[in-house]
Amino acid sequence: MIGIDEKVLKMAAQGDMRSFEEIVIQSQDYIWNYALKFLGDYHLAQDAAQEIFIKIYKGLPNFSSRSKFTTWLYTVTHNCCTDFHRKHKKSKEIYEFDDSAVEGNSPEYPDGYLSETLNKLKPELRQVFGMVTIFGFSYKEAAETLGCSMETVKTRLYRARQELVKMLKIGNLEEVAQ
Amino acid sequence: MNCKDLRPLLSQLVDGELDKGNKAKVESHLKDCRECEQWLKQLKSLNQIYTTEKAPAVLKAQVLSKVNAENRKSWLAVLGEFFQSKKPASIGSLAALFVTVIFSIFVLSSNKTEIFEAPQKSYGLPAVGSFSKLKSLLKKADSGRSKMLFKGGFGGVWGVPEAAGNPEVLSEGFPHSGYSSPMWGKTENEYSETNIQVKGVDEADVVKTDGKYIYQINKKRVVIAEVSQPQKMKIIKKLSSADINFNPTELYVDDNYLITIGNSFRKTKDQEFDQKSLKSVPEIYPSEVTQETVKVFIFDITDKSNIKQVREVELDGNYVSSRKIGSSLYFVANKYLDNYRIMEQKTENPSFSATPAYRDSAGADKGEYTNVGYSAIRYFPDAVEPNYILIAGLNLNEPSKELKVSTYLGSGNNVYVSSNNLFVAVTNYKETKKKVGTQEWKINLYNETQIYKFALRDGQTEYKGKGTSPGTIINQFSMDESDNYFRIATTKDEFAEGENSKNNIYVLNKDMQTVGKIEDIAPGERIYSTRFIGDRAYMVTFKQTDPLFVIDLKDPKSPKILGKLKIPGYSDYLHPYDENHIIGFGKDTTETKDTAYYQGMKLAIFDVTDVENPEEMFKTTIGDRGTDSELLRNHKALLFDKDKNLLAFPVTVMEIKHKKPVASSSLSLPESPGRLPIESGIVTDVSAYGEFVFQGAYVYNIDLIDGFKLKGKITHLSDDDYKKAGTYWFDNDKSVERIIYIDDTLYSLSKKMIKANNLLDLKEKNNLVIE
Repeated sequence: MIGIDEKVLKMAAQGDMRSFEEIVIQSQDYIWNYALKFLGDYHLAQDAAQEIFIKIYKGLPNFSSRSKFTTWLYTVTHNCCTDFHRKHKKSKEIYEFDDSAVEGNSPEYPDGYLSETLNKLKPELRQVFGMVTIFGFSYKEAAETLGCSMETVKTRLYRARQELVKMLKIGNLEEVAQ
Repeated sequence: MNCKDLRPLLSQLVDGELDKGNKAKVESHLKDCRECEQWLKQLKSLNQIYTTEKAPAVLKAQVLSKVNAENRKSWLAVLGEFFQSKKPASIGSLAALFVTVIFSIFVLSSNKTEIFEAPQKSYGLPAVGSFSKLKSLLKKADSGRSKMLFKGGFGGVWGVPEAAGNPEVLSEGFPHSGYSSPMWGKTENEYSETNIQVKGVDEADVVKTDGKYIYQINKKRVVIAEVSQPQKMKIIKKLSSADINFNPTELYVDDNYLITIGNSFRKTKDQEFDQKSLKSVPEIYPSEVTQETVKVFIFDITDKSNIKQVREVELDGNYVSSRKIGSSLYFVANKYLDNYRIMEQKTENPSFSATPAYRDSAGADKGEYTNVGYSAIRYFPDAVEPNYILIAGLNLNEPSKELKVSTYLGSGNNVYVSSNNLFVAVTNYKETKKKVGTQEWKINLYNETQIYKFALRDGQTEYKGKGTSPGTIINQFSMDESDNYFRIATTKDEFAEGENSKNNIYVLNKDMQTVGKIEDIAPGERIYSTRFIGDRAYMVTFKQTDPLFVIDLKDPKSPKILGKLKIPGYSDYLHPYDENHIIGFGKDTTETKDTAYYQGMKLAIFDVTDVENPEEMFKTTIGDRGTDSELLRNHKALLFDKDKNLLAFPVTVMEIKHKKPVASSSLSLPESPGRLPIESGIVTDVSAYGEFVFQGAYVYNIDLIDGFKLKGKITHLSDDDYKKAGTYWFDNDKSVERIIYIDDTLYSLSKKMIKANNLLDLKEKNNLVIE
């Protein structure tokens, strides 16, 4: 979970680069993971993550309260990834198995495949799964962000997982591993 | 509680969001229900699949440079407004602005040359001395901001895969037939050794053999199998540690000792950590502090029926690397300093020391933790970082002599060890800054590598100097020492000039001053592998094709490029075959208009007899896109023996079963980077991944007449396993990790099995299941 000190936030909002850097360090893994898993392409994710941080940098002066900050961070991340996905899907730059580049990530499940699978979920399931599993939100944070009850979060999350396990055929792999 | 009600709770368990009452219920159910247990495993795998990605190290630099660009834009806007202003009073400040602009240009250029200034000559480094001095040093470093960025290690730096090392560099020059040349044991049998970088400087690995026994790190245990008769091989011992937190990662074996190294952690209760010692208590700090440690266990194995632990050593920090030279063992650890917390403390908190601790069962304190005193911690006056680097050494033949720990304020990611010296390298980002009014502007951001040199003798280390080279390195094989000259191959990035990379070779003298260099090799490309062999360096850079550069280092003061070869594909690892031939291991690539797609694994033999015109003599590829081998990231996965014409390594093979051309309608998308047009008007999808078909060892016959001839494949998977495998494959207990040979038997090892095959025809002799 992203836990950024209030002092750091205040300093960053006043334009202190060191504090902004601290925010980048604390949140980059979550933002990166979110962008990569949703867009399924290494280079797109890189562009998206950069844009997300620029937006955060510009929007920081409006934020001083920590509790709202993570919610805002998520919203910026999610909206930006959605925009990127829409734009690049139209221009067909997003492929079934796009080049996760010569850098080669996991050969077992290419990023493009994971993102494609994720995007097959119903939006409400995808959103909860994205918030909790990928972005590291607690159930409470997720419920607050979505404006729903904790029970709803639990149920959707369970359903999302059921479907993903099925689509990714994780069961088969596990059997072999036995 | 039935399974149907329970399953949603498992989902909560995975997230750590299950309340205590339900947790107890779930746990008791899981004991009896295999299906639910299975379901939990699936959920855990799913979580792992979607959470493991760490941001690439380059991301932060990109973000900061973009933000800087934004700032610069607004700076230019200020300038613009200024020129439009017609107030005469502004003239004075206008002049001031110009002065600063000129000054900034000056700073920028002088900063570049600064790199080549002599490093401090005096080897004696000042000691930190006290807690308050530590605080003031950290404070000063903080304001100077030479910030270390790679806290979390080096994986995939700048998007470059952590390439396999290029094994060894013989400091004495050729012609030894190779580091992996067989060693003649003290008895008559002949066996392979770990593929190491420098002859005589052993590197730890997951599997070792002494010709009669095989020692393997197997989950949390060390499994010892007697293999003197392949038909009757048996496990004689499974060693596991009483410390359940200990996770052994590597081991060493010699005639007398077995040494296991790994990570563990200890918890310190921070009793005094409360309002008294802090101005404010940020809630992110718990009262119990977990300290990661490096642990070393030493066993006496002279009597195999009575293997006994003789020594236990533990040191704060994260394990970086280790080496064993004769009876001396050295290991390096990084310990992160909680800068913020230290700054918040007015006086040192006695229960939370800011200095690293260690213990040694052979020490005077009988294995109790001792903190390194402030007077024993040294620092580099021009490069203080909120991190300790610890170098520990001991001599196995002197069991009563306590572990020697040298502590420095600094950090390290890559370690290279020659027969006499240990070099620790760390890459930092540097920025050029300038002040205008009250605001600071960053003008440029670039990377440079600091190398610390330590002399090694008998388990003791002594600091010998520090050097700096522009750019970043990929692994231990980016460095080499020969005839007292240190050589390093780097890739430099400068963000002010877009993202152009440049590759360089530097030669430093024994005082770590740069005496020779070649800069700006293959602009826009990055180094994928380097190999120093005697007077020469071989370097593979890559963006769309793979140039192999041959560089002459005979005159340390003026290294020069002798020749280069451009071919498709790239090598992650270069291994000398003999003095005129090199084996390259990497991936094949298919070039499209603006990028290149990696395909299957590629092996090649390069002939460098004519240095000006290197040639690719032989090549072979394995599988399609998705095929992978640990060898591409870890040189220790290779078994090579020139005299036996033997080459073997573990590999996971993916193949595209039915290569279908993609419908020609896709041609209407000329900008699409994933498709390669072919003359006929059909296009083939070069970005398609293959399906899993094989995991195990590929064994080749290698020579300069026929090149690579596949002798056979050895797998530990059963036919049933293959049938069950889906499109993808996860490494599991049956994945072959290492291949070794003893006399005429080839052994392949997975966590589940040791398989013995005849070296001549690869016929299976026997197999031993490891429970």
